[in-house]
Amino acid sequence: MSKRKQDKFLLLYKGVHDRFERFCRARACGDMPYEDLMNESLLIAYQKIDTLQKEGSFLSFLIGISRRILANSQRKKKPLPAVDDSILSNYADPEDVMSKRMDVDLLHKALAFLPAEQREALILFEITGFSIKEIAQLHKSSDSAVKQRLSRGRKALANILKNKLSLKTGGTL
Amino acid sequence: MKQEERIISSMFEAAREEAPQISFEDMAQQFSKQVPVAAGAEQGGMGAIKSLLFRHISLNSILLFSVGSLALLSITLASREREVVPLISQQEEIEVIAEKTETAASQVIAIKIPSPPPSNPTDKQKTPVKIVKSVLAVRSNKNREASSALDSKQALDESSFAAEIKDSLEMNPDFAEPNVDSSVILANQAKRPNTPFDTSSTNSKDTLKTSDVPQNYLVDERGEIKDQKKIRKIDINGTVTLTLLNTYNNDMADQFLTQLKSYGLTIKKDRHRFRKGHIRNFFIQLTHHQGLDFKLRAAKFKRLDFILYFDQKDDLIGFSYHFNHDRNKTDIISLKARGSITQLY
Repeated sequence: MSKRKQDKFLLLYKGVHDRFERFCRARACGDMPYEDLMNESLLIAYQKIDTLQKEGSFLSFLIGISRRILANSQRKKKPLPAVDDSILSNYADPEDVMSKRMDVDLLHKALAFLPAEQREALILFEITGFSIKEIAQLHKSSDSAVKQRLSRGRKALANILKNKLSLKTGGTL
Repeated sequence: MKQEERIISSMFEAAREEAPQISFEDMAQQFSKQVPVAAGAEQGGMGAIKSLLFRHISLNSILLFSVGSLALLSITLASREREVVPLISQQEEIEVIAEKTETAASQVIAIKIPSPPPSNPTDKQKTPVKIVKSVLAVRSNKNREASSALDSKQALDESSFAAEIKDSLEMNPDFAEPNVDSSVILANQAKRPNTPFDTSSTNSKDTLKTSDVPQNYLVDERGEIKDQKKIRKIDINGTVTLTLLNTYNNDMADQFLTQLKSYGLTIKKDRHRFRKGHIRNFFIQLTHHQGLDFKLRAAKFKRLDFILYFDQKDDLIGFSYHFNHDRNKTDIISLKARGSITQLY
């Protein structure tokens, strides 16, 4: 019984693993190790898999769990540690910035400066590939509110990247 | 700004296209290591009980229902055993006065202390006995049309009752009371002689006093009645029959009880339950200021007759009950009796 349930769960998870991992990496940056977030989310999802109504919404189910885990950890923990400027300074070298890997890491660090809702909306829309309606359902808000968050989030992200990088590189962005 | 947007878009695109740093296999392996612990914690001990209790509500309700039924059944059986167990008390002498067949005598045994010999054996006076009135309780609408037929049937029952008593007396002359002529009891204007066992001497209208009559124990498989007063048929001047049919509705059943009350009996408790339009379970507790405390519990009967017996002064002196035209049980219960009867069909 347990083995069958486990196999079924892993089969479901296999289809969404990539997108879920990207979300966790982007979302957990600066809050907690994303591996821990993934692991905890999966364990809780396995325990509550009976409450999942549609298999198609398994990714939303996982993301909802991970959001609550992050919210709990932030509530319990210290104020959000500010991203160290020295981290960004590592990417000051244009050659490194060109590297995709570095781009992604830089993006994650920059996203961590955004307010939680804007950050989540951007991650879900741009990285995980959720539609605006799906994000609205997840955030329990309207479509226009999600669009507003995405727009403001992009602008804020641009400012963050510009300011942080310009501090070190002299305004290349 | 467009440049910034382009750069951000390219960064997002890179993030989307980036291969996962943790492969699914690694994650599944790590998950498989942790899950048995979580699953065990969920299923073990209280977790398993909780899951059984809350997830299988239908199973739980069946279990609760079966356990409750068993408990109820055991309580019912235990109480029934207590009621059926006969109590045999010590008596100086036992005289069997079964009035019918030997079979009936084996079922109903009246035990009494022998009465003193007659004071006036030459007294041949006969007391006229007549039926004062014969009343059938109000019937349901369905049976109202056939009320005249039932009245005639009831009269037939009484005559057959008398004939049966007479037959039984002939069959068991030793057991019959010499002073009782059953044919006279119910035959209007009949005379009967006083007998050597008549403790009421010459005055047949006088009812017996508790001090000079033996205690009467009626014990059979249905229950036990401890009667301090023996009603002799010589004292009976008339009878009234109240009938309760199982087809009566609630109002009719209440009228039956009201009629019982109108003759001076007090109904301490009464309870009846309908099932499929019929009175299924019936319970009544009758009391009287003379000391009567009589409980009758019956189930699945079709007809219950209460025959009330009156003396010469038209005072109620006792009653008898008969189920489904069963006239075998002719014991008359006095107003000082105490006991309970359970009749199940």
